[in-house]
Amino acid sequence: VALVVLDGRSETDPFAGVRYWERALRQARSLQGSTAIPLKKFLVAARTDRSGIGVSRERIQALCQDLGFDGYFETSAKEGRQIAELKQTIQESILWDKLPTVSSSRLFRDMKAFLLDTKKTGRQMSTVENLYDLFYHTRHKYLHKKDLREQFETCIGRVESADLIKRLSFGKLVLLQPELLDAYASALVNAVRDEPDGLGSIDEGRVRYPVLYVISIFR
Amino acid sequence: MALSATNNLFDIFLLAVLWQHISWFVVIPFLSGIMIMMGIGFEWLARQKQWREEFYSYTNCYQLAAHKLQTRQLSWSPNGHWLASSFSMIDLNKADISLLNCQTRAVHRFSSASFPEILMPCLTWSQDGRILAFPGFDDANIHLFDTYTERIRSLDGQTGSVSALAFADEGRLLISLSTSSNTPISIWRVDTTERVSTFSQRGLRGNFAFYPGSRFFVHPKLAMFAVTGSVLALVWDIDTDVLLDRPLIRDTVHYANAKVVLVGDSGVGKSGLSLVLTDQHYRETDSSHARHVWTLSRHEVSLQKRQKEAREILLWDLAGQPGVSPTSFISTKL
Repeated sequence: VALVVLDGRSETDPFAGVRYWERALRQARSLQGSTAIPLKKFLVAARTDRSGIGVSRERIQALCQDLGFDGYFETSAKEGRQIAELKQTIQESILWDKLPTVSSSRLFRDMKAFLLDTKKTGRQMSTVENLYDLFYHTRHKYLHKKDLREQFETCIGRVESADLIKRLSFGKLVLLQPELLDAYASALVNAVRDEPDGLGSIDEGRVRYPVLYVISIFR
Repeated sequence: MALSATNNLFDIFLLAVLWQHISWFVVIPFLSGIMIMMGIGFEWLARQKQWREEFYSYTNCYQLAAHKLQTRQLSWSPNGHWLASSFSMIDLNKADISLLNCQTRAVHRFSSASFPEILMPCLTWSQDGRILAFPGFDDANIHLFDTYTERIRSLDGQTGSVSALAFADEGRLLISLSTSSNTPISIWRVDTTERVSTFSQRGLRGNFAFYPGSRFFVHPKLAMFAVTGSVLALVWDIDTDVLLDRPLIRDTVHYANAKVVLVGDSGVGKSGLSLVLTDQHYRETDSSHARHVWTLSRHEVSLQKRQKEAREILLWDLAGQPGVSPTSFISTKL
C-alpha cells in the first residue's frame, strides 16, 4: 500500500509532485517482475485545516482515474479529519494471503523485539557487546542457551537487512538510528547547494564535522 | 536411345503398378512413415521456435531489469512448468532469484540484500515440482516458493547461512545444511514450515566435519539421506512419521509484515500524518529529511493446527527528497 501525499495549497501545479511520486512507485514496481503483489495507491491531501484544497474535485477525480489511484482522502492531522477512515482503508486493503510469511523461533522474535525497543528509546549508537549484555541480563529465560551470542549477532543482521539499524564498519558499533545517516547526507546535499563558492563544491572541514559529531554522541 | 528410355520408364511404371497391387500394405505404411517424419520435423521446428521465443523473452526481461548480472545457476522444475535462476550482481554484492513460468511467461523476482562469496545459491525443487527452496542471505535462512499459490514462505531461526538444501520423503520434509557450528543440520516440515529436528556437531560420530561445499544426496524412495563431509560421508535414516507426529515444537512463531509507504514532496505534511496514523499525538514537526518506521497496527490470527500468525502493518515514512531518484530505495521497501 502506498500513500501519496498531495500539497493542496500549491499555487502552481499541485499535481507535479503526485505525478513524480506515482512514476517512482511504478518504476519501483516494474523491478519486481510481472507478478508482484498488486499495489494499492491512495491519494492523500494533508493539512486541510490550514486552507482548503486549491483545486476542484473534478480535477482530483480525473487525476485519480488517470494515474490509477484506489481512493482519495482529505485529511488533517491536527484536527484528526478522515484519519480513522484512512487507517481503516489501509487495513482493509492489505492482502494477507498474498504476503510472504516468516516462521521463526521465539528466541529470534524476542531478540528482534529487544533491538527495536532499544531503538525506540532513542539511543543512537551502541557496541554489539553492550547490546548483548543488556539482552542477557534482562531476558533470564534464555540464560541456558549455548550459542546465544551467535544467535544474537544473526538477529542484528536480520534487523539490519530490514534497514532498521546499521552496523558500522569500525569498532563493532551498531547505529540504532540509521535515519541519522540520511539526515547527514541530506544536510550535505543542502550544504553543497548553498555553497557560496559555486554549485557543487564544499569545504572539506564541513563534511568532516558531522562525522565527528556522530562519534561524539557515542562517547 | 529415347525409345529404350521410355521403355525403361514404362517397365518401371508397370513394375510399380504390379508392386502396388501386390503390396498396398507396404506402400501405405511407407507413405504414412514419411508423413510422420514430416510431422516430427515440423514439430521440431516449432519447438525450436518456441524455445527461441522463450529464450529471448527471458533474456529481454533481464536486460531490462538490471545489468551486470551473472547467472549462477539455472534449474527447471521436475514438471517442466517453471525455470528458476539465480543471478548475482558482483559490484553491488547482491543476489537475485528469478522464476519464469513457462506457460504464462510471468516472472517472479526476489532480491536479497547481500550475497556470500563462497556459497552458491542452491535452487532445489521438491520432487513434484510444486515448491522451490532457496537460501535466504540476510533476511531469513530459507525461502520456499509455492508455485500453486505463488506465495513465499520463509524459514528462520537458525544461525549461519545455508549451504545445501534437499527435500526428503516426497516433499514432506526439507533438510538444510548450514555453516553454523552448533546446529549444522536442520529438518523442517514443509506444510507447517516448522523446524522439527536439529542435529548438532557434538552428536556426530568421530571426526566428521562439514565443509562449505558439503552436499546432500537423498534417496529417491526411502527416507534416507547422505551427506558428504571432509573425512567421511554419513548416512541418515529419517523416520518421517515420528517427526511429523511429534507435538509441534512450541518454539516456532509465525508472522507476516505488510508495508505501507508514505511518499510526497517535502513539506506537505507527511510526518504529521504518520504521527496520527500510528495513534500518537499530533505535534508540529520540522522538516524531517529522514525516513521513519512506525507500527500502524498489529494483530494475531489463528491458522489451522493451532498455529498463530502475528500480522503487523508498518508505516514507512520516506522523506521527500525531490531531485534524488527514490526508485531504488522504494523498490526494496514495497
